[in-house]
Amino acid sequence: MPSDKSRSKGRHVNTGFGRHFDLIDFGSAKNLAVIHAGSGFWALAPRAAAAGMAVSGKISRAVESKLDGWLDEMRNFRFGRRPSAVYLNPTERCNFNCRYCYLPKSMRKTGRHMGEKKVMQALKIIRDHFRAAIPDRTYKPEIIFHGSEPMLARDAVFAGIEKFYRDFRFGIQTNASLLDAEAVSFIRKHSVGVGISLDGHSAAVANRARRTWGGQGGFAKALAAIEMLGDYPKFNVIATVTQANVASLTSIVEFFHERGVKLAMLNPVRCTQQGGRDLKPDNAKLAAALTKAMDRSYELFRKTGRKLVVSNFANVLIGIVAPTARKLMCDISPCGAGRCFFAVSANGDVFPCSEFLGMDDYNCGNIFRKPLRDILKSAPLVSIMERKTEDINPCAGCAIQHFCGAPCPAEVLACAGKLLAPSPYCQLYEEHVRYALRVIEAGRVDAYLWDGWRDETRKTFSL
Amino acid sequence: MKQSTSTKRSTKVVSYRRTCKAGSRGTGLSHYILVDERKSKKA
Repeated sequence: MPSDKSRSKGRHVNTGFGRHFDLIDFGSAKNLAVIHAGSGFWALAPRAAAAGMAVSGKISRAVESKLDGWLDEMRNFRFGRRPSAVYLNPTERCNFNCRYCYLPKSMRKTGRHMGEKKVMQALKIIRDHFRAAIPDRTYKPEIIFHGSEPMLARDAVFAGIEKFYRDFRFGIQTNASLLDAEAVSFIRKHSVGVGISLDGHSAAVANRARRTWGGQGGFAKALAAIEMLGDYPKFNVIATVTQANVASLTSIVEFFHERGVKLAMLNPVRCTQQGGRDLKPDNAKLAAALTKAMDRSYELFRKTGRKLVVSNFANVLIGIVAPTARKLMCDISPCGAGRCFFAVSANGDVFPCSEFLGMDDYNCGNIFRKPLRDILKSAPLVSIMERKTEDINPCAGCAIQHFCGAPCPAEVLACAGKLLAPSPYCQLYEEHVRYALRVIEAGRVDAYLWDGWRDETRKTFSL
Repeated sequence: MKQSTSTKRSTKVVSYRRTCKAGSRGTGLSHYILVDERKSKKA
């Protein structure tokens, strides 16, 4: 075994202990991207000169003294976090039977409600846990009432918000079918974030995969909710992208933009359940459709001055230009499950993330019977918190592993039978990152990110 | 049309990095979008 003294001092790029830079073609006629995968460093350099700049020139010299700091920044970001959000399911039931839902059908159809008393008890336990775990008293942890359909437990949800609004920031993710004027008034008054699920720009498209148990589509109700909430700043729309709507993404962007939606997600369906796998769009078609839709969002911004931020793409983009300013924690490894948030089921069982609900092996303990601090150290939760791209083939050698994160562990487990496998959307991320690099090259980053992102961040390096 | 005979190559590099001022607070997963965090923090 060689001693440390006999090791290379890392003087040479790409050999021994030297820094490792990758070159990728991101579809630009002018430039290639030089990437240091571990730190998330990137540079766009002229095609003819990029390799030389990376191995012995302008780029490697300019960043040599910075890389260790960036590696530390990434390490802290990826492994130094504690949970500050909870996805709380006040009921297992849903009035919809969406074909791609990641929750088991029996649970959604005949599952239990948590009930108001237990919701209150759960919120108190979570509040007390965060008070002890988060020293920053000015920071409010977040509770998202999630589902199934949380508005089926409306009284319990609203009672919880009413009582604990000083302790938490609240959000509700809903199919909007039970949102009436009174509910919207409550949401506005208590500054509750609200996400509406809507998959299309027309009833024909939106209702293909999202219907009630009786077969009724949700488009009209979702549209009514958008009209009620259009000017509300804490409102967003999530469209799940499947084979049923992948060809309509540009129209969906136009539709959302026209109705004043400011923040949306075009979220590829999770393949955790068979229904999702059956509806998974082809990666190449999906990438092409998303690229076209993102181009359209840019055109609409240029034409009208109004921006529709497509959050899942925005998160990849911010992950490149300001890695620690990410909002979504799915596309970084380890993902956010267990280390940034966890999920509580309607009977109080804790899971790393909503995506694991119904997977008994990932039941980490019951919030009403076991201290949260112990639950958050449980083996199933830790196994997710330790899942990282460095242990996955081919991710370990991938230049964009920290712009992608190989999501999502529940989905990967369902598809590959093991946690340490790449994302079923690997090719999509490859294209997303290339598109993001073209956006950066064109100087259009502000058109795709939310207003205020520059104020939230500060520049630490430029070349 | 006269063609350029210049052999000078562009060496312009674009690279920058920013960091989150408040320390990362991202808590979102793809089932829900975290909205308007700054306003909420001021509340």
